[in-house]
Amino acid sequence: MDPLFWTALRLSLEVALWASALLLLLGLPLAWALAFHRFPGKPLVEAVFLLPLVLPPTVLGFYLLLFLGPEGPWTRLTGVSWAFRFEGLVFASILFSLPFALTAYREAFLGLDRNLLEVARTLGVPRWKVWARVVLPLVWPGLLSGTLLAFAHTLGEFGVVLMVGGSIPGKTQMVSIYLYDLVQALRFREAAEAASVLLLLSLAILAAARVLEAKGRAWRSTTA
Amino acid sequence: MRGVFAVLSILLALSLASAQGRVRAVAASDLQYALAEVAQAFERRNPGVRVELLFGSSGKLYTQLTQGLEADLFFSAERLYPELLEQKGLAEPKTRRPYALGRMAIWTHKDLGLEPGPAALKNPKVTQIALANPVHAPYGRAAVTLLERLGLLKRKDLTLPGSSKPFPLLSWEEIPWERLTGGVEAYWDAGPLRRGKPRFDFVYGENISQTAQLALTSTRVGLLALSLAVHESLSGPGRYWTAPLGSHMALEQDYVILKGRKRPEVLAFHAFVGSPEARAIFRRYGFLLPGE
Repeated sequence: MDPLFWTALRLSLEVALWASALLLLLGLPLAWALAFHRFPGKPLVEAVFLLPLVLPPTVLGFYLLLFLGPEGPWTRLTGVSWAFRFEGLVFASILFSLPFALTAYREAFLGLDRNLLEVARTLGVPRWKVWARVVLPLVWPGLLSGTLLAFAHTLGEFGVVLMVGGSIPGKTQMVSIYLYDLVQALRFREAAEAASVLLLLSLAILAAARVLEAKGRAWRSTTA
Repeated sequence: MRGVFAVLSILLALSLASAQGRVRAVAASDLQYALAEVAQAFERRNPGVRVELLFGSSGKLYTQLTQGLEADLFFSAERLYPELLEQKGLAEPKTRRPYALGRMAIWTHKDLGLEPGPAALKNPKVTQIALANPVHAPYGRAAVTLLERLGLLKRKDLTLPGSSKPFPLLSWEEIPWERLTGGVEAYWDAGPLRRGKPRFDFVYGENISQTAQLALTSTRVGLLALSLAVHESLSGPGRYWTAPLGSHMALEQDYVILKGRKRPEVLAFHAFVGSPEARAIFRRYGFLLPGE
C-alpha cells in the first residue's frame, strides 16, 4: 500500500478526532437547550442547525472557504486565514457533522425520564451532581453513538474538504480526496485497496457504536 | 386507454424530436468559456439544434464515459484520454482531431499589487499558489513543468519506485505523473519559492476551473489556463502573465465523437469546431490552433 495512503488516513483520523471531540463540547449545551428550553424562534434555530445536512457539500465548502480565506470575516476577526489548513478542516468538519451529532444528543436528552430529574431536584441534589449521577449515566450511549457517527461522517466527507482543504498531501489531503485523486489518475486497483481499508474501518466504528449503545442500554435497565 | 396511448405517443414523438436537435458534449473545464461561445455560435447558425455542455476534469470524464455516460462528443485537455477511448472502441474511428493547444498563465490578484510573472511568485506576499493537481490534471502537469523551466522548482535527487532512470534524468513525458501523489514538494525542491517566507504551500485544485476558483477566492495567486485567465471573471479582479511557448509540457487537446453517435447534427458540430469562426473564438481565449 502507498505510504501516502496512511498519511492521508492519519490526517483524516486526526481531523475527525478533533472535530468530534469539539462537537461533543459544543453540541451538549446546544442539544440540551433545544431539548428542554423554549425560546422564541426555536424552530428556525433548529432548522439553521440542520442546514448543513441539505446544502450541497461543495456549496457549503465554497462559502466556508470565503469565510475562512484571506479576505473573509474570520481572518479579519482573528488575523489568521484558516483556508487550506488543519484548523480550517476541523472547523468545517464541526459544521457539517453538527446536524448528526445534535440530532443524536437531542434524542438522548428527550429520552430522559423527567421525573428522575424532578426527584433529584426536590431532594436538594446540586445541579452538577444531578448531571454526574443521573443525566450522564443515562444518556452516554446516545452521546457516544452521536459522536461516533460524527466521527465516521467526517472520515467520509468529500465536497466540503475538497473546497476548504486544497488537497495538500500530508497537510490537508484527507483520505477521501486521496482516493478520488487515485481514481482520477486511473489507478483503480490501488483505489479499491484503499477504499476497502476505509470501508472496514468505518464498518468497525459503526459496529462499535452499536455495541456500546446496546451495552449502555442493558446497563441502564439494570440500574434504573 | 386510447387517450393514454395518444398522449404517450405524442410524448414519445416530442422527445424524439428534441433528441434530434440536441448535441451533448462533455469537455475539459479549461473550455468553460470558450466552448460555450463556440456552441452559441453554432446554435445561431443551426436554429433548432441545441448544444448541451458538461464540464469536468478530463480524467474524470474519461472514466465516466467508459462507464456509459451519455455524450456525443468529448473534448479532452490532452490527447491521452481520447486515444484511450479509441483503443477501447468507444470512439468513432477517424473522428479524433486536435482542436487547440492550451497555454499557461501566471495569474495574480490585483490586491497583491504585484506585476504578474515569474518574479512575483518569489515575493514574500505569495505564501500560497494554486495549481491543478498534477497527478491527473494536464494543466497541473503543465504548471509544474513551467515552474521547473523558470528555475523555481528543482528535481530532487531520487529514483521513483518502478522507474529505472533517476528522476532528474526523466523527460517531461517520461515522468509517471499519476504516481506523484506526495505533492509537488515531495519530488521537487521549491527553494526559490520558499526563501524568505514564513510559510509556503502549493494548493491543489481538482480541475483547472476549481483551481481558478481557489486562486480567485483564497490563494490570490494561481497557475491557470490562459483560456480562463483572459475571461473577465479573472482578468477583472486580477492580472496575468502568459507563459512563452514551449516553456511547459505541451497541452495538445483532442476531441472525438463517441461510438454510435454520428448523427448529422453531431457531425455538423464536429465540423464547426474546426471552422474559421470557431477557431477565431478559441484564439480569442488564448488557445493556439492546430496548423498555425
